[in-house]
Amino acid sequence: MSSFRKRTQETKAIPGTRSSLYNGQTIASTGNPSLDHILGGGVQIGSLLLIEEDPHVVYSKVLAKYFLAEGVVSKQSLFFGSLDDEPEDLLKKLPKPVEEDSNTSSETSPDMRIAWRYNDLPQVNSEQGGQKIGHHFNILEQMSSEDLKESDISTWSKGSFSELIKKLAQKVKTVKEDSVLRICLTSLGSPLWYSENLEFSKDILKFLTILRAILRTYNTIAFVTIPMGLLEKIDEKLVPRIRNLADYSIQLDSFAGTDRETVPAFKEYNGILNIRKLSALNTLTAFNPETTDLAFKLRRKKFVIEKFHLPPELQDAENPQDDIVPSLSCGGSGKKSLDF
Amino acid sequence: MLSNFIVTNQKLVVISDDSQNLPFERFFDRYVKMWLREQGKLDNLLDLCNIKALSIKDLSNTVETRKSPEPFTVILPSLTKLLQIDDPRNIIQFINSLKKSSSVRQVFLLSTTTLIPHELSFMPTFLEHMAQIVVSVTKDDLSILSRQSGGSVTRKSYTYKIDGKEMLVKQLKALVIKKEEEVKPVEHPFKIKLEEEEMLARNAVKLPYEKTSEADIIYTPDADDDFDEEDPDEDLYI
Repeated sequence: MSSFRKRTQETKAIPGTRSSLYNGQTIASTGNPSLDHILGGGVQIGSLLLIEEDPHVVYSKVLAKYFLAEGVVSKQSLFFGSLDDEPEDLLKKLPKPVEEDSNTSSETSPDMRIAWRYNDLPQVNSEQGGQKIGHHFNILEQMSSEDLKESDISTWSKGSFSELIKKLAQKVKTVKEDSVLRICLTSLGSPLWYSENLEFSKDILKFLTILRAILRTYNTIAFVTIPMGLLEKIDEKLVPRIRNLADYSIQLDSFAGTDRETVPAFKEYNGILNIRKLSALNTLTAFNPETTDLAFKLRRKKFVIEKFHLPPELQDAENPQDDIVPSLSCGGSGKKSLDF
Repeated sequence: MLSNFIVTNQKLVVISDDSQNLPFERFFDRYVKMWLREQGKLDNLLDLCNIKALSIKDLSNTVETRKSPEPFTVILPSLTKLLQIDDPRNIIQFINSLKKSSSVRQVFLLSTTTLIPHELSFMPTFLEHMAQIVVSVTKDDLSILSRQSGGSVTRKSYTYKIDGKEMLVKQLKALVIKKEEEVKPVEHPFKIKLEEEEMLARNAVKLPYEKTSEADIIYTPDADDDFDEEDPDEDLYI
């Protein structure tokens, strides 16, 4: 990056936000550094981040907790709505912030005698991450209830789409101009939301449209998880239409309970992460991630998104016969060992 | 026995029957009772299969009027029957209320995919999404998908056999990943291994490019040393 900077008037930044390095828009963290990284540093204020749930709703829930925890730590107002998850249960399980990433402390590798200069090389890390704006969280530990007491959290866990919109509209009006409201809706459109086939599709699209209008008007960001695999069964067209209404769309495709669990190439990961949509808000060009080949895994303490790579092939291939590389015939063909 | 896997403390069990030759649809309550008997949990049972109900409301009233101090097991009529008496929304809400209720020990539901009308074909998937245990039975084998509350998900396939009294299952071996073959020692005409003495002797040898200690360049400038003000390498693009 060049050292030239556009001279901008230093406006008072809203706590917990920052202006993007790519386009100068105000962004906020999702709470997970690697998710921030693939979205271009964070989520733009006023946008809708859609997470397409994994079939068993394990990993999307982890991301939702990250999102809420980030809001609590950076003292933003929160709105949590869900029919499937009890708000109290989920808020109790928010991850605890940790001071600094302990991984950065360089692990001393065994000394090399001859090639000692290589000792100084940094270890290769394919984890997606970089400059951070949010906090680091440890999902193994939970936030104490005292931290939660101070923050302004509204919850909603019963009703229909229209009631949710009304509640949301009331809530956004209470948010001050120098603050951000985080809206987190999990499992939107799950079976519990179902009404009638046609009505349901209409309702969810209408809901998202109004939600987007609200987001654009106030200082808000929204994190919505939707079980796309189920909505597909109702109406195939519904999936692209919902994606169209979101600003970012990330699909979590987990291996759990499928045959891919045992495939050696996927052994290291919990699933594939597909970026379905990254939109440009207030700018002409959308952020372009370095790679779209991404995979995620849930480690003991954190959720990481990495560049997908195949593991080293340590075992012999299934059919050694196929493996014979056609070589220049020097010692006869078809022989496996070299003749000296 | 199949009951070992499905009579657990996971609330909602959905049996998805695609076998087309098993009389699940007719005798579902008998199957469930058999499983419960095998596990010794036949007490506190609420069988809704043969209750005359005109709507979901009748069923939920029956559940509510049953007040027992201990949690009880509920056998629901099959999804086909439920869809005949009420609409999907009420069915989903009713099953969800059973799932959340603390007075219910376990809920069994049968969904026969072939008997569901086309416009409602999403219903089995929806209910499987809500369930903690999904048993999918096909002609030759069955698979059990189990979701633990901690978030772990397992799916295992079994072959099954029904004799007069019980349903026996046998786990199909998952794709066995080839074990690493033992590396055969390569025969060669020279000695490649080191004895301990030799190893010590080898490590003691000081190699030419080895780093031995932190080295500093100590330089004391002379009085008549001539320093260039300008960068002598300026013309080189380095």
